[in-house]
Amino acid sequence: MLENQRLRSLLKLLTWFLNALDNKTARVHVNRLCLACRIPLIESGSAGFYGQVSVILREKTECYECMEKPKQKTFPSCTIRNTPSEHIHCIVWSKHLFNQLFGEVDIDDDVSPDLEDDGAREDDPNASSNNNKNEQATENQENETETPAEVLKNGNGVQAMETDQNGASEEAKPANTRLWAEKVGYDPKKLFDKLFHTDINYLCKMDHLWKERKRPIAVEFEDVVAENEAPRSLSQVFDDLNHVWTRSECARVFAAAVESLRDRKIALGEHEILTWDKDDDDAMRFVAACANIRASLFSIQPKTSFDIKAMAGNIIPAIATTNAIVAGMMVTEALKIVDGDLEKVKNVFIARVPNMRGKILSDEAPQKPNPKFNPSDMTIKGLNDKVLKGALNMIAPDVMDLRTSNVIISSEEGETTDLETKKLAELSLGEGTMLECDDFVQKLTLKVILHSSPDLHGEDFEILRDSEKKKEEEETRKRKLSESEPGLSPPKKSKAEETNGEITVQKLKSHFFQSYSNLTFFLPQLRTRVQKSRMHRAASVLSTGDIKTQPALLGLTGPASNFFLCNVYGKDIGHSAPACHNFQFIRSYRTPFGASL
Amino acid sequence: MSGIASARLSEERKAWRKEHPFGFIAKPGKNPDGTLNLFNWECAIPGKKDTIWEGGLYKVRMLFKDDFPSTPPKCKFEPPLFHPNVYPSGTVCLSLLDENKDWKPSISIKQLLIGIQDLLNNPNVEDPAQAEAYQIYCQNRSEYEKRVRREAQKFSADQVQKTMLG
Amino acid sequence: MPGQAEGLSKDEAAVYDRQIRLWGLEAQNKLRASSVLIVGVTALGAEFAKNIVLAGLKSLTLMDHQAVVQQDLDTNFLFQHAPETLGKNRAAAAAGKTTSLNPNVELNVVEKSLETQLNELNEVGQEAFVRQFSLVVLIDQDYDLVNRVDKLCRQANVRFMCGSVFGWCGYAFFDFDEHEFLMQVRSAQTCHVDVDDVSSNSKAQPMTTIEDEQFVKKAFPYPSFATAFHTEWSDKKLQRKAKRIIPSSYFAIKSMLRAQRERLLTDDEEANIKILKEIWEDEVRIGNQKPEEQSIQPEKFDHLFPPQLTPTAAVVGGMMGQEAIKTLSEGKDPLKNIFIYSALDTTGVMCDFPPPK
Repeated sequence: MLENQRLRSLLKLLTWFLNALDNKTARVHVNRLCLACRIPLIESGSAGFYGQVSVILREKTECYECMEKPKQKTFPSCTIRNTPSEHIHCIVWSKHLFNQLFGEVDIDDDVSPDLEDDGAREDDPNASSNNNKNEQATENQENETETPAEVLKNGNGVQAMETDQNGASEEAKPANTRLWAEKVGYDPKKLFDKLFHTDINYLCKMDHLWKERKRPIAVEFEDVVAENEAPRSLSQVFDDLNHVWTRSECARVFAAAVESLRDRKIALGEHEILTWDKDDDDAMRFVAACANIRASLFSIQPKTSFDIKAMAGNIIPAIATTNAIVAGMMVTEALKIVDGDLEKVKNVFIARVPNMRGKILSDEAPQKPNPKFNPSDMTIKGLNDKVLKGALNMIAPDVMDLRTSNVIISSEEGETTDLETKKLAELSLGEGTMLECDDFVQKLTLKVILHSSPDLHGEDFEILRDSEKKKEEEETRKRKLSESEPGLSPPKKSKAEETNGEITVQKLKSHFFQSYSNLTFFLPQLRTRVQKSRMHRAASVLSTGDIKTQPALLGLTGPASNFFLCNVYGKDIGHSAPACHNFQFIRSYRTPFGASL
Repeated sequence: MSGIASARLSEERKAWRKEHPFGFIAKPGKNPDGTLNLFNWECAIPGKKDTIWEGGLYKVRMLFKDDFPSTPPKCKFEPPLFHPNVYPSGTVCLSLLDENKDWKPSISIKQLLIGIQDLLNNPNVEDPAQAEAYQIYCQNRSEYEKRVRREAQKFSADQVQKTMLG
Repeated sequence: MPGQAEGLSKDEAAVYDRQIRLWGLEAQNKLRASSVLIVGVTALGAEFAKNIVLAGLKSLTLMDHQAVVQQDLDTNFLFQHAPETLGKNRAAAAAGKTTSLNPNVELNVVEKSLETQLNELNEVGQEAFVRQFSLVVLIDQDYDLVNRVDKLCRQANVRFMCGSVFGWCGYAFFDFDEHEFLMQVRSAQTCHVDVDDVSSNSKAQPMTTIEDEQFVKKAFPYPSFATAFHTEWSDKKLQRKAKRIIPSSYFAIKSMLRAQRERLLTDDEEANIKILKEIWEDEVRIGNQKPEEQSIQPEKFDHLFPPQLTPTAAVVGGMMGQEAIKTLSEGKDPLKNIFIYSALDTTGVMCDFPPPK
């Protein structure tokens, strides 16, 4: 990639790189690329009504990887395997099961314990000739100091055999569930009974799991199917995304999905596997059915397949309006770069409701309300009633001083009443004190920073919103006034570089820039001569997955410059997708480097 | 003060207030200045019904360190309790409270208090902490029971509740 | 209520899948029953049209009396970029691409000016005209027409929205007077709606639960266009507030609107800039602020004239689209009542004017 010299020199010509990607891996890749080549990167994201833009400049700003990102939610494996309590646990279980049966086998994700080598049921009187091994297995389990639950946790019963006291070692066979399934030809009834009857009974035997929990109820395939006396046709069920399928329907869907997936897997060939995809109907139905069946055993409410798809597929809904706003904000930041105003770039995000200063496109971190009062006069009661409940709309605040971890206000009656009349100063609360105020009744936690002012008296107070930011802005404003007019400052490149750049760009233009050499499209929107000339020479890359911001951006910047649209990781641009990004009429460009970028 | 510890303790406090087992008490103690100390809880454990401990409400102080929940709290009966697994100082000896044994950061205060309640009528003779109760328990069971019943009366639930909850 | 597909065809369900996951089937169905009128197919008009048509409507009507000129071709992606497009009626020229964005929406074209249309009708007829639509949107229209149509819509109880992009800055105005939204219930006791007065007008409705939150349908008053842009900042109670809550960009917008209203603008851009500067200084003063403290200074006023900057049109059109969807689907968190975006100082601010007491 970067070894490609030609690519490198192309990248060095770029004025900026615009990201409209939909996955972290690609973003990290582009981030490193831009840092290495010192190209300004304008990152973006959009999800539902929220969206944001960040500008990444080497050595000036945080890079993508440095930024704090929300942690992905993971669940403890014993919850998934043994004691699910929410529907999402069942969905995760089902996805793991899919992989165990049809996809890439992973020891850590095995959700169906292998109790015997040959797949015979433990209560099956016709246990096969592998009886010896079975006995050994059982014996080992008894001698094992691990509890059965731990055995389950560690993979499957077979793995425990590795540390057999007798020294006889068995190789761990993580694919046993798979082998067994293949051996029984993925018979849906057999699979169902193992997963939802045998395995569940096994779990039930672990008393300590069920001390404070309700035991799951095992069921058999035949019985479940019979639950529904007047069954709908399968195709009716498949199309019904918005109602919860009955358990009987789930069992039938399970059977149909298993058979379909089995057939597909066989057709693929010996060592081929299937990969789970939310848009793969069989795979999606498999997970939906399994999740709901499992949920029913653990007394968890089932969900519609519409909802399950969103949860299983991590669907992040996207809409045209948010994308348009994000795209607009990205280009506005890009314009600052063209102007050479690197200090002015901002990270902006779309807020759902305006902040206290009315900003709905906010470049500030979320609100920290800062009450200002006189700590020698203001009492705890005053703080509680007038500031927290009155001005900040809390109902039952519990307040902790973050410095000392002491609770100064408890919403529990009587606990802090003797503090009420004390002045804040008496408790050493004053300028700079940070309080964490959590509302016992409503979902609301505020971090409040106190400011003192000797000018205020009694229980008077003012709420300053982001007082530090205000000062900062004052300074910036003053600075702006004394700055020379942007655009009149000389271009930063030397003459030689300019010429070099221009020639190369021209060459590239002739190669890639098909019939869209219409720079006049955008230029009139820029006002200064220098802006226009810079834009004329600007070269930018828009990298995109199959994402939706892409058309919005193309519409905005495509004609603006010598513009290269590239795929990162080889995803197709403009492939058929929901209406919000069906922009066929905007031409797209492909670099010959395509996915290798 | 550790942010993790205080955040977790706040959570525990809130969870306890929303729901806790009947008869138990658990709340942060008071600092000299009147503020509440999340690292020092005053708790009380009721004796289980149909046991010799029934009727009694036994006060326990829970002391948390800065690195909680990596380390378990120190639990101390106040005043020290007559029980084979309680040290003369009042400190409880329980594997659940041992960071090298059964303590896990995911264990909640609720679970700890229930664990200690369990211990009351199920002493662990492998791990004696005080000579007196241990010896009497092993040698003279009926005397042991008499003593315990006396404790239960001494720390009668009604009285203890009144002093703790006001 | 949540019925089997509720009339959504398989294709529609597939195409609207992502947005239904965001705002729900019920909201989607309300959109599908709505009719929207867009007057003014400019760059901003194009952005808004794209957004609203993609959301899915029953019908969209594009109304414009002007012909496509070169500058339009440069900024409006709904036009076929070919010389043949020049001279065509703007609404007609945009029809093809608009339909291709979402063939499920019935598209109507009216090659007429709204002013002419209304003047042909008597009062009753005018009300009937706007009542055909769930939402009337005026884009880049003259101050007087905007004022007039806003009043008409309020009278006819029709939702109204207007917006304009002046070069690098733009605004959108929302007037959904007495139309319902879902407001979050703050606690079991109080039903906190908005700082605005809801006493006489609020109609408490049965709770609609969305996930763990409680919502209630509520309508509340929006000020008219004229009222919104003519706040009495000299009022004692507002004087101090004015310093805090009026963004710099407001003065630029207000000045342009006032210049329009007072018919002071001509074809001479330089002269216009001078006029604008005078008005601006006056407006800043009325807003109890100081001209030298403004982040948008008169030196940049050339940036307030055509052509419309595409990112500004995208942002303003995006916000307009978002609010239109919210009001038509009776959704959550409506924004009041003026949105102002400036690419000059990169600010996007909601102004609730006149400020609630």
